Amino acid sequence: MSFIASIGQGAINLYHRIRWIVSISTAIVQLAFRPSSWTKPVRMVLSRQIVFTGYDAIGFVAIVALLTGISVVVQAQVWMGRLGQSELLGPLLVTVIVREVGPLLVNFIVIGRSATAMAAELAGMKVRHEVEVLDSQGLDPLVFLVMPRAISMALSVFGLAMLFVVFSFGSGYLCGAFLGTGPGDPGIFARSVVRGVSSYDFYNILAKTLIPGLLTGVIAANEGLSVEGVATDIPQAVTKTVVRATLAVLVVSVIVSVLTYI
Amino acid sequence: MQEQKAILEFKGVTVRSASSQISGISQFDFSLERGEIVVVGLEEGRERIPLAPLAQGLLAPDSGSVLFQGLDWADMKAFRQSVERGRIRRVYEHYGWVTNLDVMENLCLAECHHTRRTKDEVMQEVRGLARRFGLEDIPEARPTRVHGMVLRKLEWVRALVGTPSLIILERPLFGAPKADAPKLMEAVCEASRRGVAILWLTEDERVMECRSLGAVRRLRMNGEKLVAVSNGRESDG
Repeated sequence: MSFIASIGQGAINLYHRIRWIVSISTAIVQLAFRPSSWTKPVRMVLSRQIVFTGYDAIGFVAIVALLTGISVVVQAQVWMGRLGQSELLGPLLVTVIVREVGPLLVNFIVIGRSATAMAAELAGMKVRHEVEVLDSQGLDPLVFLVMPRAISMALSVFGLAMLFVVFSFGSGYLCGAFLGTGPGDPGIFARSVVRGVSSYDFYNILAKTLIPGLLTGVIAANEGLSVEGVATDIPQAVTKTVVRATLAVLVVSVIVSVLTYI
Repeated sequence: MQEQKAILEFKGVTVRSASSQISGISQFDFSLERGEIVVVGLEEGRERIPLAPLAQGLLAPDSGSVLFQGLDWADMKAFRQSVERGRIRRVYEHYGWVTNLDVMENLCLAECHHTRRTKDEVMQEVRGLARRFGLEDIPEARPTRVHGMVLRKLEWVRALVGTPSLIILERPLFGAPKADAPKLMEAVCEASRRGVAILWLTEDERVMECRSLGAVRRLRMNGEKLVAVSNGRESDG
């Protein structure tokens, strides 16, 4: 195959893969709005996945948020103070933490912590014929395995991103106050941040958490369930999940930023 | 609405060998009616045939068609297929458990998914059936932590829970204590009297010859063909 042909084939394959992921994601959203999809066992899977992906990750996300807050917020306070632009502190922090760093870091944490586990779990189930066992009992794998996992991932990323923002601002303020670099009065700091927030930021953080979270769940499930009966394929499924989900998060993040603010 | 008499119909079904472990079948024609028990005798060395996946619409035949309650699996949409599979229970040839659920969750899964029964109600039925097979308690563990012999008997329990239309038993006595075989046969006969169709695959001659099972028909695999057995003699099925 010529060089040009291989590039073309790669582009066609990429297009088919994206179309597949988007069509599964669309089907999942449709299923999620159908009450009959939410049977007792499906609700049980959803609640367990929210505990695993969201609740169990709070500690780790809090630590990352605290450290991010200390490094980013305190630096911003110092430099804005030196430049005499302290009134721009709020808008700057909102731009950095709320719009970009928060959603991105949380998405990456969820990919590393939960999406990899999900891909390995589903690949293991496929290898052990457990997916066939579910299917043969009339439990559609898309409804029972994929939908609750993808929905829980989307909700968890959103919830964790909100916590991340709160923890990072809190730790940044406290550290700044301790070092004497911040505004001192918490009211001034809070008002400065609130002034920097616009209605677009709300849509932005929704779009940058719910959409990539859903896509991450779908990509992890798709890679896991694509394994064909060989245990040695499981690590490859995990690797592909990390690479493809990371790319999806970055692409969605860029598109949302461009659509929202430019 | 008139009740569909034939629960399962195979019409000229052929499947070439699906893998090195699963044998192919050729020109299968048979039907299974409500309350009927059909025993299929498997040949030594060819114990694994894709009858159950075909009957559940999980495997498409290379030619012919498989109908469940009058509907061709090939004509059903995915949602309808899932609903119809919810009316079928099965004891699996291969490992038949979901390892990230505990044993009780596995046992109640299909019934809780397809019916409005409460989990407590289903668990009560499960415990009753388990006691019938000599299991006083359901292990509170994941299936990988439970002895294979217990799991096998629990598969019988799962197959009998609720009111299915069809129960497929793929070599259900394999790995189970021989002393418990009559208990399973008795439970299966009771289910058939309630109108459940039973398809029993076995390599065990005692099951083939067992009169107390009350099987209406006995069939036997002969190569890739299925032949009827009457009074110990075989004839074309």
